[in-house]
Amino acid sequence: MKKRSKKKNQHALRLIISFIAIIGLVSLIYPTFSNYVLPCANTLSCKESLTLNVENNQEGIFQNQKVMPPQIDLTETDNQVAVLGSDTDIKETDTSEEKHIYVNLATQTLSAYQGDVLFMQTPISSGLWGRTPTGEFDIWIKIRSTRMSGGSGADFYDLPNVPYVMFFSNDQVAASRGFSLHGTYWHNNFGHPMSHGCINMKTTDIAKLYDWGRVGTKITIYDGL
Amino acid sequence: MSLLKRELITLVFILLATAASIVFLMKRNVIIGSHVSASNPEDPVPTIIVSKPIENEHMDSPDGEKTLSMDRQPIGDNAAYSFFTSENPDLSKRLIFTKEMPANEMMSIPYNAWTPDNEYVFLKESTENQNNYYVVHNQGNTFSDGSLYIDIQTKFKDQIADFTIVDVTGWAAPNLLIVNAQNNQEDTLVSFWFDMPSQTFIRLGTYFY
Repeated sequence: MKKRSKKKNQHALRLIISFIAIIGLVSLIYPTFSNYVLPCANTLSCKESLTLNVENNQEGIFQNQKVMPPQIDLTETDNQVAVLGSDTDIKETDTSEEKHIYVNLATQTLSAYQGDVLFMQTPISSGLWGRTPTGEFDIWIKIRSTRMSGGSGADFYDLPNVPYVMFFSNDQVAASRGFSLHGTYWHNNFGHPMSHGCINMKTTDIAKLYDWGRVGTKITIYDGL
Repeated sequence: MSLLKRELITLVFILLATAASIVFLMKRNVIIGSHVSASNPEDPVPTIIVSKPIENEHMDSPDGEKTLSMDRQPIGDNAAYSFFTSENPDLSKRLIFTKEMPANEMMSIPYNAWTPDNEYVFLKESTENQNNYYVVHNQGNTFSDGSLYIDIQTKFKDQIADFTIVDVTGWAAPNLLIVNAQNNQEDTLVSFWFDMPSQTFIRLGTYFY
């Protein structure tokens, strides 16, 4: 009897040790092989959104509603941006005071500073149906207008002439993912999450920020709790 | 009585009379040597009533093309609210909504008042018991039933049982007003869209926090 129970105990001990060993092994291996990739901000127009696209007089769709995009006139912008429609080469010339944009996801507020001077503070809408990434980013391109589409079913959206787009990226969130700050003509619920991952702004606000910001301007997105 | 006594008595009498006169005149508040005039009762000085200043607030549409402004005029124990819209940069204003209410209640312009297409605005009324929300056409046009505004709180109570409006935050789309509500047990938060064309509420699976 004694021998039997001793064997039982040894068996149970072996099982427990094996279990712990397996857990430990999986924990060591998993980060190497897991390759979670943040989905594109705009799941259908992932690549296409990254280039200039002006489509005047085209309807958009959002929440099963037709929306009319703004007319985009590239000649209204400065010459260099008008030619390119995008700004990759107009770098910051005044480096005396660094420009920095902060987005607080908890308060749904964007603050833009040059040095210690506040340039703008305004409500925004971050991700509701898709996550807005947090961290430190750089603006890598500015595009006056592009088309964004994504979602499915009732959540499907197709939005031409999204105005004043500033795409940002870092080592973890590649430029190809298409996360950006941009103008918004399809909803007016700022101060509350509404997007699929991008930072939505009132068109009048983003127009000023677009003119102020440059390629290389830093963006910090944080939870603000 | 000796002469001296009589002269003394006379002197004392004069001094007393003088003192009494001075006291009497001081109490009358009459300055000797000045002329005092009184206003002619047949020509009263008009009373000028200085009205309290009008307080003003405004909110631009998201594209900057229009402005919604509100004037608040105190009137005794009440306040009169007037709402106007204007096309920028034109300064002429069109009156779209007015209301007078007790001074301890107030109306305000929500941050997301404008629909994305500038067609409608919603206004907020804060009373002791609840907040009310009114949707008004940007030109002050009437709705299909002839009314000048849609009372969201009344519509909600008529259509949705067991829920109370917590907040109306803005527009999910040109015709969809976001209404956040709580059930009567206060343990469930639910969002609705108020659909403008049908004037009905659509319950959502996502909470618009």
